[in-house]
Amino acid sequence: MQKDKLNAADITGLISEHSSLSKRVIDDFLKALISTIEEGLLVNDVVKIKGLGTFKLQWNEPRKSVNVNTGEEIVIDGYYKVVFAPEAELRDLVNLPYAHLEATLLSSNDENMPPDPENDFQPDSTPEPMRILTEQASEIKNILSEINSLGKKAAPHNTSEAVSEVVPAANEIADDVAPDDLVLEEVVSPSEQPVPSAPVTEIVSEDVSIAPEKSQESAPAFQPKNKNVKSAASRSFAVVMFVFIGIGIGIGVTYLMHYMNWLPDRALIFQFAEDDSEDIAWFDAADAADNDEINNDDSADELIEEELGNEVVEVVSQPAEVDIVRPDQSAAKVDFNTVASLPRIYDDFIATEEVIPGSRLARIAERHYGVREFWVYIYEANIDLFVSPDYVAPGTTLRIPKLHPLLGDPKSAEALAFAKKLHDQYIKK
Amino acid sequence: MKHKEVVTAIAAKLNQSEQETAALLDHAVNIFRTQLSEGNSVLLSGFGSFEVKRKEERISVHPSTKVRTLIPPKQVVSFKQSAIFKQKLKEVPHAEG
Repeated sequence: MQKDKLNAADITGLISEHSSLSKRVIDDFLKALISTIEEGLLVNDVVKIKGLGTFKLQWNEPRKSVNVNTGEEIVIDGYYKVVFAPEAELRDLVNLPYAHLEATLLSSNDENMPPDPENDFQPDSTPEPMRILTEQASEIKNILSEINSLGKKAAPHNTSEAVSEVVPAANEIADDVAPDDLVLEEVVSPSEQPVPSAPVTEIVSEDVSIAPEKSQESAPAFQPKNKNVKSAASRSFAVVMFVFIGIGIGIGVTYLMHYMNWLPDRALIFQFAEDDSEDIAWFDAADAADNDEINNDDSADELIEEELGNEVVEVVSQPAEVDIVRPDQSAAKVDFNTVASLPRIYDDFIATEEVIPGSRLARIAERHYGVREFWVYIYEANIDLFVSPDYVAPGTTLRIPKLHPLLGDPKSAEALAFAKKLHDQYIKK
Repeated sequence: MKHKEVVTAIAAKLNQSEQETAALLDHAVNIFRTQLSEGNSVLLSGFGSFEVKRKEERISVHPSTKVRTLIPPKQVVSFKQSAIFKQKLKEVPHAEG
């Protein structure tokens, strides 16, 4: 310690300087003081001296310990100890160099240890260790806040960099795949602006159905510049890209399905539902709209004629030939089941239909008979032309037979049921 | 033992008036304070020594609120009894209380 250690003699000398008393007197005084305090403690446990503090006796309980040499357990006896508590003034006086410091609440545990303060009781040095400490602390806080603000600025900046990187990637792909000038312009122009480039990139990937997968593959290739980007930002961006590409693919697939409906290879495309014949959903999904709109025969005919467009309808009337089942016969007397069980031979035709791509047997039936269910009879009449109920070569001329009134009665539940039965038979084959 | 009692006891021992003793004691105490405030330690043989110790700053956590507080460094006065005194004290019977 740099400080002086004063003993009784020194104290004596100091006191005698101040009080102009002889040293011997002061010496005696000090001894008397000590013994008085001792006696006071032994009697009273507490001795209080104004300006100095309080002396107390403290009892320490006996405790077990170990003999350091032998290692055996020993018991330390209980004992009294003198304890000194300085007075408030003395405390403040002694703490003067640190007096301006205060206890502070902490939010983080990054408080650094202060440098060892110069003990300022040297006459030549100025006692300001703690002021330096607080200044350093405030400087460090400023530096930290600057670093934080820099970090925050970097994050969105890097995100915009990531987006602008993807835009040139989309540019390249757009050149290869999409010859759409408008799309290119959209991509090129906002490349300067990081904010709109993100939606533009997504629009590009939506419009070009084939491109999206390519753009997604090359976008990660441009990532090397953006390694600084926080993983959270680039991850969320990639997720958004994937979502929009998924939407683009879905739209593309839907269009493809639509295209397939109009391929020239297929003539008649039937997709028969297993529901009742009354169920309108005989057609595939693409034609569902048509089905829903058809409520009565007239509107159906109009719609069908719109759909088929160029279909040529020839109405050929042929002379009726007498056969086993004669539609001319009065049907009233004949039982339906009897008629139904008879083998059906079609010689009497009311019309013909030419098959074009997209023709529907059920539609044709509806047109001529009024109900779709009676397609089975057209099928039977032209059975040699059909490979299967849902396929016939385009350009074939189908002959629409005249049906027995009982069988071909659109309003007869029996007729409908019978036709449905035939339908099931043929479809199951 | 109050301050006045101490003064009385000392006066009795020295056969001085209490006024003088009081004045003397005040002088002595002031010397102590001055020396301690300068960081010097005061030794009274047979009794003990007064030292100035520095306490480092520390982070203390309030046990219930968990509030963390930074306590600044400080200097305190500490008293250490002498061995003789300690010996004398050992002979004191301990009264349970």
